[in-house]
Amino acid sequence: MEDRPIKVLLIEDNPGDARLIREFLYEAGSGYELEHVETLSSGIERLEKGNLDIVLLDLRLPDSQGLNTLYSLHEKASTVPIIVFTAIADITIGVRAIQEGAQDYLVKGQIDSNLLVRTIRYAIERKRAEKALQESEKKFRLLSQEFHALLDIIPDSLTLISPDLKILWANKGAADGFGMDVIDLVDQYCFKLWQDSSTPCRSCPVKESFQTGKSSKEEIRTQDGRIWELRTVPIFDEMGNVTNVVEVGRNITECKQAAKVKHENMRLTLAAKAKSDFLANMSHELRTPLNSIIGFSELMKHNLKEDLNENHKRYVDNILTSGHHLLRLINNILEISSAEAGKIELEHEMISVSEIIDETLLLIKEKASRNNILIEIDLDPELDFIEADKLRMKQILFNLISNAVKFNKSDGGGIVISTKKEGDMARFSISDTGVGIKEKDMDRLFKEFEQLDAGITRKYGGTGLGLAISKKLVELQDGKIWAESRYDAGSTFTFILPVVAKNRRN
Amino acid sequence: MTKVLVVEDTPLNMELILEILDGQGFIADSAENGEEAIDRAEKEIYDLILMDIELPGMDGIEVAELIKNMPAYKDVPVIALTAYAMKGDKERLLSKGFHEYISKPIDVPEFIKRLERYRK
Repeated sequence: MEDRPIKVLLIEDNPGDARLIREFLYEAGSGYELEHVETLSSGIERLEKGNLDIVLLDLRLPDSQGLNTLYSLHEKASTVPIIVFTAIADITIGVRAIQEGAQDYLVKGQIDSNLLVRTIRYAIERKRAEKALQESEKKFRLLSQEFHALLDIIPDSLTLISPDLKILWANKGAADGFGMDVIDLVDQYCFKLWQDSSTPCRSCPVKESFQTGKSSKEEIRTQDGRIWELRTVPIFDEMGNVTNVVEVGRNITECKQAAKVKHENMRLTLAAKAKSDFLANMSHELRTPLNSIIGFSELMKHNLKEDLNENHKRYVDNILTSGHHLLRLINNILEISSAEAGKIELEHEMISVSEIIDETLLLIKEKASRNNILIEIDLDPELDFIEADKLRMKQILFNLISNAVKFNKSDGGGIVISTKKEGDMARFSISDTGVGIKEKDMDRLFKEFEQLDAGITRKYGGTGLGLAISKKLVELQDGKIWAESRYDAGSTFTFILPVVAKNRRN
Repeated sequence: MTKVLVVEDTPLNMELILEILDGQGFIADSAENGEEAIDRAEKEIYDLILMDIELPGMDGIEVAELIKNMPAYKDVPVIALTAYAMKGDKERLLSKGFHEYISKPIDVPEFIKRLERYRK
């Protein structure tokens, strides 16, 4: 700037005044380049071309008068400083001109070279400072906007809190957290918002930060059950006193719940592991003595036949029966626990319905015919095949049919095994003509160890686990099982399974 | 005569197995734990080993491995005879190199049938 001459545009219609200005500038040396026009329009035209450092403007021109002249010019070139000339008679206009954007004014007749040059220099500097300030303000405004956008994007609640615990400022996260508008949060007591209380909270991180001048942290539970983690940071003045405190609130309800669920899952996993370890252990520990009980009984039965009298033989058979019963119990208990733990792995395959019923009956027929029980089979021709786990399927059928034999009339009863395709489901029913089940006992049927009275076990044998296992196996294959019965008139046990396995558990 | 080594820590079960073997004309020796089993295997060559799995000290899997590593036992069958009868136990033991798996309680007639296959 200092290196090149200052480019001055003089807009002045009075030739005498113009000459005077030219002379003053000439007197000041070679640092000024003057251009002169006589009307506002030609002045504007020149300004639009740019490359000017300052405008000296007479307010009275042929094509414009008074402050309007300044307005028009200022509008065209707000970045170039303007000095206006006024007559002695209207000094007040000079002041108004400054208020309206001129940098300074000079009163005609009171100008000399020094004054002119100083005024020009000051005007240029002032304009430059003004511009710098404007730019800095603009930058600050932008920064402030960005900062607020940033604070609003944070989902955490951010508030600025005064020493009397009132909210001075809040972000959108706070508004969302409290379910109010930002504007309504301002001036509220923070304890009113957090705890709906009329007095400050007992342990308050904001008070703590005011007192200690340090960050603080607290966890609170709001009345609707949400859990928040509050962190506070003090803001200091130049003297090092805490003026306000910023509070950041984070809703950690879900986080806490997730941790709880995780903990609970872990506990369940450990419990399941403990149970399965216990069962494996129990199985091993029971089988070991059972090996001697069954083994020696069998030796006695087979090897010492000749030495035993009839009573001895009966006793040995009793020991063997009980031993095998105990073994079956162990196996069934393990089976039920596996089903409960979801440990049974199903192997789906296409099974011929008539074949699996025949195969199951092979295992039962002998006992049925001993009791003169007539077995009738009524198969739906539309249900040829079912996709299921063959072993489990047979186990269910075996349990139900052998129950039907066991709990039938002691002589000459009947059993009907029927199938029916019902939409996507296959229905299997096994009816007997046995003692039936009392209404009050129906609920307990499928529970573990619930043979309906203790005498049944003695009379009929069995572990009391067959129906419970069947129910688990049916449900494992997305089916249902139930019983209908009239006491003294027999029972019907029915289960349905998907014709095509839904969830393949490989 | 077929010589069998029975490794079993429960006395009554030991007695049962020895009784059965004797009844079927096998010659049987007993070992109550792994160390004893290895001692016996080093002194004498058996034609068949019946190995309990849960033993005091070394378990049956380790003992079987040590014995199988003896050159003389390269082709001698070792049968796991165990009360471990949960799902997966059979597969687990067969994968450890046991020749066969028999669960307790044993079915005596079936057990005798199986022993027959190893008679020399």
